[in-house]
Amino acid sequence: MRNDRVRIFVGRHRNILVAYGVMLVVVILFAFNQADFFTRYGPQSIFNQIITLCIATLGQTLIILTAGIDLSIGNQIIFLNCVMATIMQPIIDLVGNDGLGIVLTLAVILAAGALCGLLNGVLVAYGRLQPIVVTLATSSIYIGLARYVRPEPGGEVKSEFARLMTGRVLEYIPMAAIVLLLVIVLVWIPFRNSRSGQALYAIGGNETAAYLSGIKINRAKISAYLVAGVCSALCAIMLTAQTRSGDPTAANNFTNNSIAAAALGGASLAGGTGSYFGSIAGAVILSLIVGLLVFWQVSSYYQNLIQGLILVLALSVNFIVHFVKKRQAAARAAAK
Amino acid sequence: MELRKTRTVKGLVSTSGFRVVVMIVLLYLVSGVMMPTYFAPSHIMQVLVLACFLGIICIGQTFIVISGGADLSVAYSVTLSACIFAQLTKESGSGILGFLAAIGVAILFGAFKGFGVAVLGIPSMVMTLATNAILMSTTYLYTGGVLKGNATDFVTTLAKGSIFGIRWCVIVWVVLGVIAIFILRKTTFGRSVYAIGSNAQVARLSGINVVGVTIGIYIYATVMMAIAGVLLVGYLGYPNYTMADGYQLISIAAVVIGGTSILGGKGSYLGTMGGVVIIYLIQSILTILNIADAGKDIVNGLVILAILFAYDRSAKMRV
Repeated sequence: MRNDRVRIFVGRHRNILVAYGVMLVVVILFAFNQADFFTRYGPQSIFNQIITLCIATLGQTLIILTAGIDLSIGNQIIFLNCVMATIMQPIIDLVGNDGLGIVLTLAVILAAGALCGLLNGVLVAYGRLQPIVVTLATSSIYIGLARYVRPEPGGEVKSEFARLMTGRVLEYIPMAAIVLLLVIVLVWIPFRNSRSGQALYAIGGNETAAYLSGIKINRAKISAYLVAGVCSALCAIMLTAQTRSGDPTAANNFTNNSIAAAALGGASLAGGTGSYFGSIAGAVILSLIVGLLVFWQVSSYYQNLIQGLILVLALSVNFIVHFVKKRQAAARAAAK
Repeated sequence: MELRKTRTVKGLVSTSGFRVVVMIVLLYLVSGVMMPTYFAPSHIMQVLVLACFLGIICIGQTFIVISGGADLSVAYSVTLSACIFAQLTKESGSGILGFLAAIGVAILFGAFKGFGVAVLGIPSMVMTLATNAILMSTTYLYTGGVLKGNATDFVTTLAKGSIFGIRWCVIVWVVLGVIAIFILRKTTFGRSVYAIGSNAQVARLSGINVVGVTIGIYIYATVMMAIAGVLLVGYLGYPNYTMADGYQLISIAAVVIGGTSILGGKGSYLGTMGGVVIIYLIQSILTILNIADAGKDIVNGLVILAILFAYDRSAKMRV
């Protein structure tokens, strides 16, 4: 009985388990290579490396749950990054108080992110268009807006703010870890448990069936895109704190990496499967691999190759398990 | 379905092909009214020359989208082949060898994509995303970070030369396009592409070799992208790491604007050719308006949305 339960659990969560297995290996390798891993600087540097992709992936996961895909996340983040670096100083000057100015800036960015998400959501839900083509079109709009706001890289970011967001609280706790925890506890879990959040899984499983059971599909979809937009804003805030500038020409891998990380963490592109738990593991793997290669002095040319291979291998697990089982069954049949 | 529709006027208007033609004529007239020189045949040829590279890339994208996927590895499928062609041609002194190597590598990576999708069961978009990363690394590792080589005379003539006022590259596009249309409409392979896109499970149960056909689709698609890459080298004169970045997403847009369903199972390459032309007509109008790059991106996005609204909406759900 117990054994069966374990087997069912493993069968159901195979992808997430694989993701955590790989993540464990990556983190252990990291611990061996990073000299100050076990000091208070170790976690700080790790969380700063993973935080942006983690938050972006959480947003992407919500969209993937509805059987959609968001190709505009990367450009949303760049757009919000440019806006933030541009408006922070003027707002501070306007209110004449650093703290208040920064809080206002953050509020504006979160609202702008929500608006970006809302636009995607309304086009998908009420426009009855396919998410992939909608977000393809809006991503062009967002990058255009980013170039409009900030034709040249630059802008001003308060260094106190940058230090706070990338630093530590109470000597030991990395701020990025607190932000990640807050995003999960205050954004993801409440939304997941709300009526719309529950509906996402039903919609991803079978949209027609969900519609026929009286689920408000449009409302659920729009709220998923809206929350994903808020995630983009949070990611942009952390990115701006790290880079201390706004850059419309920045190499922009958030779209691709967030899709890859979500898939790595067990989210199915067919919809209905996925969780913050798995997605974070996916994002951690993809971010830390880059650091590991730097430690090992591997040419940066290999970075994408290794990320791509890990993705393919991790997603082949279902096939491999299936293949081995089939072989075993065939062997048993032959033995009889 | 489509055939029966064209028998009545109302039915004809409702076909996606009709809408594509109307869109092209309208955009052409608008651009011509704004800039009378755009009515000249030389300008039409100019638009077609710009369109032919995306057009050839979109042969692959159309096959993949009809089969129910989407290829996000366009950027480096094109670039790797272009780099291999230019560098190997320079090193070996033989353009034919360079071309064959570029096609050979495309076949290899196409088979890899198809294997991942059909055998390993990885979703098309994720598999091609991963392949794009691998292709990108391969490009940098092969070139060692320094781009070498340039176009051969033959390829330069193909990309820039013309016969009877028609540019060779446009002829190449049309020939490859006609072959693609023939394959999709008249061969078992082509009909299997539609069957897999409608419902892979049903296709398999009806005796279609889904694994074989899917791998075939991705090989064919990647080879088309490689040919576009070689032609682009001829057009630009030399390869470039970011030469195909812009084609990645716009290729999906062109396919969808051409009336192919992103959900798979429906569409045609003739429609895609129209979609590609529409995209470049929009570009030429944006050039006349002479707005900054930022504005171009925004207008581009808005126009694609408007076109999608015009004819790619799904039916409203009803009880």
